[in-house]
Amino acid sequence: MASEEESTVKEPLDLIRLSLDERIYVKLRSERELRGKLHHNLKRKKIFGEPILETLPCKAYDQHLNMILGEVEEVITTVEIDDETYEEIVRTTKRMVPFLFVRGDGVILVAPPLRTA
Amino acid sequence: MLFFSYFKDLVGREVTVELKNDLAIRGTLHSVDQYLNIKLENTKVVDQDKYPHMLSVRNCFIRGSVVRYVQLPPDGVDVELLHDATRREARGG
Amino acid sequence: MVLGLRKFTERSGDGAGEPVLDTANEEELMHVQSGVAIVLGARAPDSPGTLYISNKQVVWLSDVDKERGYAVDFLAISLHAVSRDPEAYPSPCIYAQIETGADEDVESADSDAECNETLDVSQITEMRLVPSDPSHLESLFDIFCECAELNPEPNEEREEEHNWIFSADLLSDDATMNEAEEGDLQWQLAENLGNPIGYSNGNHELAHSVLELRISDQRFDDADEMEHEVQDRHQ
Repeated sequence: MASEEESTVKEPLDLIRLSLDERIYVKLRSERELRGKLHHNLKRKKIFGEPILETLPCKAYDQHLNMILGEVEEVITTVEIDDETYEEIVRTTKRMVPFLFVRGDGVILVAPPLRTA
Repeated sequence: MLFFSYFKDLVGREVTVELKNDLAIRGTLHSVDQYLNIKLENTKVVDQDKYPHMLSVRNCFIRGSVVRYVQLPPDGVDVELLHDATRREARGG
Repeated sequence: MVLGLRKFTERSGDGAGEPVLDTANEEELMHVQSGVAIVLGARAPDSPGTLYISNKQVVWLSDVDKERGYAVDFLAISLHAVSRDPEAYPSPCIYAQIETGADEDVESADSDAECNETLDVSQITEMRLVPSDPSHLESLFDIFCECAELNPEPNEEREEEHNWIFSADLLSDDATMNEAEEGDLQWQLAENLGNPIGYSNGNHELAHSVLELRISDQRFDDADEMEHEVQDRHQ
């Protein structure tokens, strides 16, 4: 598979870097969701699409999906069962964190931002 | 290894480590190893109601695999810093 | 990997000596500390006892009751700390949090334990080790750190090349099977999904760039179960 893709995309988040400076979506275990800016490497952006001469992995993520996000919004969803009516009560709590290191073993899914028209 | 280098540059800074069991511990980053095990000094449990008997411990070693998040100092996430860290990594540091 | 605290009674000699270690698997004794009391959860301290720290586990053996002893693997110690705050505990001690290996039937196990009023040590999440001489705390802490670093997560030790699948053609059932057989950490990038990641309207550009990461790694198995486990641990 000596495709062009292979020369530029080494791991999943290399595709995510197409959304430079946009807020990406990260779903985590324990019903947690994050939206935040993935830090990136400007140098690499310039040479994107060309053979990579300089292979310094300058980025804030690695192959384990460890990553650093900026301006992070975390949403935690909890579901409780009402004791009397047995209805599900869904609660969400939000908080903002300026900069967050996220350990990759909790990551379920990573997606680029939803682009609204 | 990228984040190992990165965290080494944050030694001496105040961070908040959030564990997968929801415990959050704030303290001064004393050291970090290649497995991202974290040693904190002068720690405080953020949610003291939940973990009253851990109130404050002087030294604390946190196993990397139980970490969910680390809240970083806002000025500590410097792109240049990351670049430095990755360059060192590229040199095999 | 054995999570949680367990009872330990295998002593050398006539059952009165040091703990029997798994020397066949390169387990060796790193440190012995006499005059240490152990506190499990919120229970009363158990003393006197002797602490044996190997490169794999922490073993506490009662000096009085030769049948009484506890062990926990370093792999199961989430954190350890030097606690000197009298509000936290009256005596300076090593505080450790233990990750319990909650089984699927953990709820029934819990209720059984309550009924019988016996201590299910595997559910203990907190342990304190109180040396009679507090000046040993710093050295004990350092030994704990050293040994914890000798016990990284078993599947983190390999830093192999990940295998990437970049073509949707390869995402057949066969590919999935191979992946399972190899048992390595692998990624599959599924593109051109009809309705990716819950976005209902067909923004094709977006759909193309959305990644679905399917991670074949036992750490990610049974996420629901794991969540229960976490909740149980808090109770």
